[in-house]
Amino acid sequence: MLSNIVVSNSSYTNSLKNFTMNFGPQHPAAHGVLRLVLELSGEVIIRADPHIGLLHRGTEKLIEHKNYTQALPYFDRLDYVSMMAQEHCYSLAVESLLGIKSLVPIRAQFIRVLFAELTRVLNHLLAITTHALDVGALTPFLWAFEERERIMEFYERVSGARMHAAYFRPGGVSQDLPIGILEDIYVFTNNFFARILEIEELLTNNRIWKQRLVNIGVISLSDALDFGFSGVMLRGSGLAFDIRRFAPYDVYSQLSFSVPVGQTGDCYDRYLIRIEEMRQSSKLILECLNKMPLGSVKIDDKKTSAPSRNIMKFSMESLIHHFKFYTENYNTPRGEIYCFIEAPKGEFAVFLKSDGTNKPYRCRIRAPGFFHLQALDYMSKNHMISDIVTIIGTQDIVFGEIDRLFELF
Amino acid sequence: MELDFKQIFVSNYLVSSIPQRCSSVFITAGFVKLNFSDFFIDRFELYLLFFKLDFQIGNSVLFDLWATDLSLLFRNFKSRFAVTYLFFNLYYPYFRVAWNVLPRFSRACFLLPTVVNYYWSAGWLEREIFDLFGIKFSGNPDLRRLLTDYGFSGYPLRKDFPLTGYTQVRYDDELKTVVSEPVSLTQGYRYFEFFSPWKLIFL
Repeated sequence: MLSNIVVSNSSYTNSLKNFTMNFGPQHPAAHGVLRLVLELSGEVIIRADPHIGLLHRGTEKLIEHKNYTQALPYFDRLDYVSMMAQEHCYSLAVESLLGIKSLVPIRAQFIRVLFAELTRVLNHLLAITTHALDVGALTPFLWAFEERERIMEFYERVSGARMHAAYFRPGGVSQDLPIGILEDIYVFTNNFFARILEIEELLTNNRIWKQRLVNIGVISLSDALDFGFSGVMLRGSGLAFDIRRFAPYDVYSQLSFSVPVGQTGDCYDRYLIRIEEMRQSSKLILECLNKMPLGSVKIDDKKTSAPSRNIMKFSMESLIHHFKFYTENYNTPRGEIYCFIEAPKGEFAVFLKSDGTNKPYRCRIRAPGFFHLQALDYMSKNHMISDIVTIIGTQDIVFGEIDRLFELF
Repeated sequence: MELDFKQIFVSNYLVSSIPQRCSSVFITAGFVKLNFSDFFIDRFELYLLFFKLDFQIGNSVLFDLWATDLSLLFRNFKSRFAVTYLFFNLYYPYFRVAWNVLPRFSRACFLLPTVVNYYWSAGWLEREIFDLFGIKFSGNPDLRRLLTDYGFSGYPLRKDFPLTGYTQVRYDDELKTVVSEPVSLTQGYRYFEFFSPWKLIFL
C-alpha cells in the first residue's frame, strides 16, 4: 500500500528524498501481520523497519494468572504452525521445575520425540512452500499442504484437535496412542520421502528459483551469532549447532540423525537445509516407530498428572486427585528454570519463575523469530523489494511467536 | 535437578574471575545464574566486557534479555525489577549463563545503560522491556514501543497493571474511526485463591 509520495523540489538540481512505503500489515507475503516501513531509493531498499505488535495479545501476562495446566494451551498458539514443539518446551520446563524430569516414562518420551519430529516436518512443509508461494511458485504449496493435512490427521487422532493439540503435558502426554496409528505413520513416512522429492524436483534445480534465492540475504557466521540467530539460520551460515545434539532432551541422545549445514549463508542454503531436515526428521520418525517401547504415558504421581477417567469413576483417591488437579493444580517449589529446545524455527526457550504457588510468577518466552525479524533490516540492505519477500520467507517468520499472542479460551 | 560438571566448572570460573561483588552463583537446570549483592553502574560495562572478551568464556552472545517485576514476591525488597541477561557461548552450549541484575532505581527514574553496542541483539529486546515494563535504556538508538499499540500508555507487564488493562478500542461507525474507551467487562475475572493446608510431597 502506498502512503506518502515524496515530492522532490522543482529545481533541476533537486534533492531527492527516499521513498517511504508501507509493506503490510495486510499483505499476502507478509506472513501474518507484519507492517514493514520500507525506505526505498528506486527499487533498492535503504532501510526496512518492521513494526510488530499487531498480533500481540499478552500471553506472558495472561500466563501469570493461570495455573500450569491452564497455561499449556497458550504455547500451542504461539508458533501456530509447529504446535507441539512449544508444548514440548513448556512441558520440559515444568517437569524440571517440579523435579520429575527423570520420572517421565520412556514411552512418553518416545511419543514426544515422534510427534516433535512430525511437527518439524509440519513446519518445514509450510515454511518452504509458503516461501515458494511468495516467490512465485504456486504448486508446491498445494502439495505440501496435502501432506500437512495427513499429519494433522495424526494430531487429531492422538489428541482430538487438528492443530492446537495440548497433547504434551508436564509428566508425559495426555493419553496413549490410539490403536493403529503407528502403522499409519509408518505408511505416511515411507511415502513421504517421495513427496519431498517431488517438491525438490520443482524447486532445487530450477533456474528461476536459484536466481531468486542464491546470494540473497547472505549473513556471515559471526553476524548470525551476534544477532542471536539459532536453528536453520545459524546452520545456514556454517555452524553445525543443533540443540538436539548438544543438549539432548527426552530420548534424542539414543537416536541417530545428521545435521545439515550450509556454506554460504544465503537463502538457497537455508532452503536446502530445510529440505534435508525434513528427510532427517522422517528418518527419526521411522527410528522412533521401531524403538517405541511399551509402558505408561504419564508419570505415576497423580498429583502432577491427572488420573484417567475410568479410574476416576471408581476409585476415591483418583477422584480426589482429579478434583484437586483440575481446580487447584500442583504447587511448584520456588525456583527458576530456563528450558530451551530445538524448535523447527530455531531455539525456543521458556523461562519460568515460580514463587511456590500454583501459578507461574513470570513466564518469559524466547521466540526464535523475534531475533530473525530484528535482523531483517540488516539482511535486506541494498536488496530489492522482491528480495524482501524472499528474506521474510527464509527467516520463517510466524507472528504468533513474535508478538506473543493469546487467545481467549 | 541434575548438575553438570561443565556447569560447575563455568560457575567456579565465573565466581573466581568476575571482579568482586558476585555473591553467589546459582546452578540450576538450563542455566547458571550469577547473583550480585549490589548493582553498581560503574561495574556494569566491566562485566559486559568480561562476557565479551574473556579468553576462556568470552565471545558470548546475548540470547535473551527480560525483566521481572518483583513487587509481589518479597515484603521488603530493595529493587523492584530484576533484569536478566542471558548469554549463549559456544564453549558451553549445553546451558546458558544468566546474569540477574537487580537495579535500585531512585523514585521514578527507571534507567539502565544499554548493551546494544556490545550485543547487537539487544536492540529489540530493550525496546520490548521499555514497552512492557517502562525501564528505559540510555544510549539505545531506537527506543520506541514495540509490542503495544501506537498510542498506548502504561506498562502492561508490571504487576500493578491490571490483566484487562484500562482502555479498550472499538470502531465507531458514526465517527468512522477507531475510538478507545475505558474497559467495560460483562463479567469480572474470576480469581480463585487456593492455599492448600497440605504440603505436597514430590517423589
